[in-house]
Amino acid sequence: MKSHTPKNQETTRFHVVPHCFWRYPIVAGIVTVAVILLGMLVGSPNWPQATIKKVTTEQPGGTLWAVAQELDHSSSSYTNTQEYGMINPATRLVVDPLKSASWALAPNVNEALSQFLAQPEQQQVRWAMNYDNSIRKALKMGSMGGAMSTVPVPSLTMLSHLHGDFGPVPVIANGILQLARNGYLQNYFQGISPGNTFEYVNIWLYDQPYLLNTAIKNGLTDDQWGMIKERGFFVGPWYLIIPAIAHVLLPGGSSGPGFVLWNALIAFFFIVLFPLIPGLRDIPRYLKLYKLIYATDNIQHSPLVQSVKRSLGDETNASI
Amino acid sequence: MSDPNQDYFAHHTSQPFAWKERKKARGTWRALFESFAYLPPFNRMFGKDSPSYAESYWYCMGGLTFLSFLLLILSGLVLTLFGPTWWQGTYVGYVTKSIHYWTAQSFFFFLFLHIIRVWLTGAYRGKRWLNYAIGFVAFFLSLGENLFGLLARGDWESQFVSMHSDDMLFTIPGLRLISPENFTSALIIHVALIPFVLLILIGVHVTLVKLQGIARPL
Repeated sequence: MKSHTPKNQETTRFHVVPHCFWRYPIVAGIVTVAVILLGMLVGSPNWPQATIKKVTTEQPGGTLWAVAQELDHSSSSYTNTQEYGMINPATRLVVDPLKSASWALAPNVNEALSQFLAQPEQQQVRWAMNYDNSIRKALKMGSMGGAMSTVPVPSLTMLSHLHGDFGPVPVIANGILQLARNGYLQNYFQGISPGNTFEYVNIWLYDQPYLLNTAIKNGLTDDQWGMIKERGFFVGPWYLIIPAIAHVLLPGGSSGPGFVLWNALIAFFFIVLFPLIPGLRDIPRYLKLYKLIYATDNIQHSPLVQSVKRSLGDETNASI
Repeated sequence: MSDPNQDYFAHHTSQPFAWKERKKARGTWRALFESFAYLPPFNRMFGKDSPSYAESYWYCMGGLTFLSFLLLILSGLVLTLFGPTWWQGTYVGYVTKSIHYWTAQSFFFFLFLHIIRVWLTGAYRGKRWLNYAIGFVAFFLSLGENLFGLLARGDWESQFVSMHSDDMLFTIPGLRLISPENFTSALIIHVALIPFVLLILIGVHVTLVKLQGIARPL
């Protein structure tokens, strides 16, 4: 009897049908086989890590410049002073490694270090800054602007022709370069770190122009939509598109707090506003795109079932 | 009919094991294969009724996301057991890591389709909102899980992203306590901390789906 049909079935335009369960294990099997085959045949991103030895062998001038920036407190490692054990990058990344290897260094490097440490910090920074500015001038660099363009790397020849009040800084920088090129520096940083940690190695490397330049050339910085890309592989984490949009397109999204704030707002919109605010939450009802989702009720609409229904009249119910 | 919902939710009730009857009706082998479906929590998977609109592949997307999650745990356990030297230095390790990578792709692919299905069918209405919110929190947490997985890989991308994120995301108060280039900590966060929370959230999500049944159509 029509009046006895449950209210929800009356309004849904749908029927209760036998559930086809076997599609689940079958589709699950297909997906499992697909990911195994993709893993075997296509592989995954696997670009080897850059080592201090490799970077400094390829771009020794970049290392000398990085040491100057570490000593004049302008290197990017000063953003990482909150890292456990970092405290002062000039000490951690330049002075301490040199002290630890004093037995292997030429006497002039040890003397330069003693001369450097004997001076007050103000003088140390002034020497390093002079060297840093002189390199910038030689490279014809203006003030640091236009964040995401590659940085020119000075050659050793260019650096050897620089003159100015640099104090012992160039000798100290060459001492670090020597330790870096013979592999000592990487071993030293990993040796003073527990386990599988690369804090000092990576922070040191990030002060070099090499790592960021390579990323920029490969379009991998956040500003280049690097969040959704992988080096040397065609499929990256595309699913990070929402955070990537927040970072690249939305105002202030490129700073840490801005990035977190935008993501929190987006999450708030999708979790709270969209499903709860009248009007917003009704959008799917108006769009009617659910028609693309719902399965067509083939059985109930088949000519046979329809004719049976007609012959039975009102005696049948919705779930024939 | 005092309760109009009674019939609608009839397909959620359990069904007796009834081996003899099933054997007679479905044949020995099929009845044997389908036996597990009559035990909790698989009650009434076979021979159960469901609303016709839900017999669409779109309604498999959440299940496939869950399957991908289980495969991620499985491949992740193998990777954890043998360690970074294995997945970086041997072919079998590399393939296992690649399977883990593609399973993550599959996880997010089906998760996006699942979210689209939920949006387009308005399956967040009424009491279901709580489960919708739990699902979304799990989704955002999965994105964080992905970041720490990338850091834990130990390749060039990990190296660069550790520093690039350390100068952006991990400079803000609270998050700056985390050191992304400390791969040991990244690995622990990736294999133990976040998956543990995800497991709870996804467990609650799936249980609520089971309790609340399929969302009614628009």
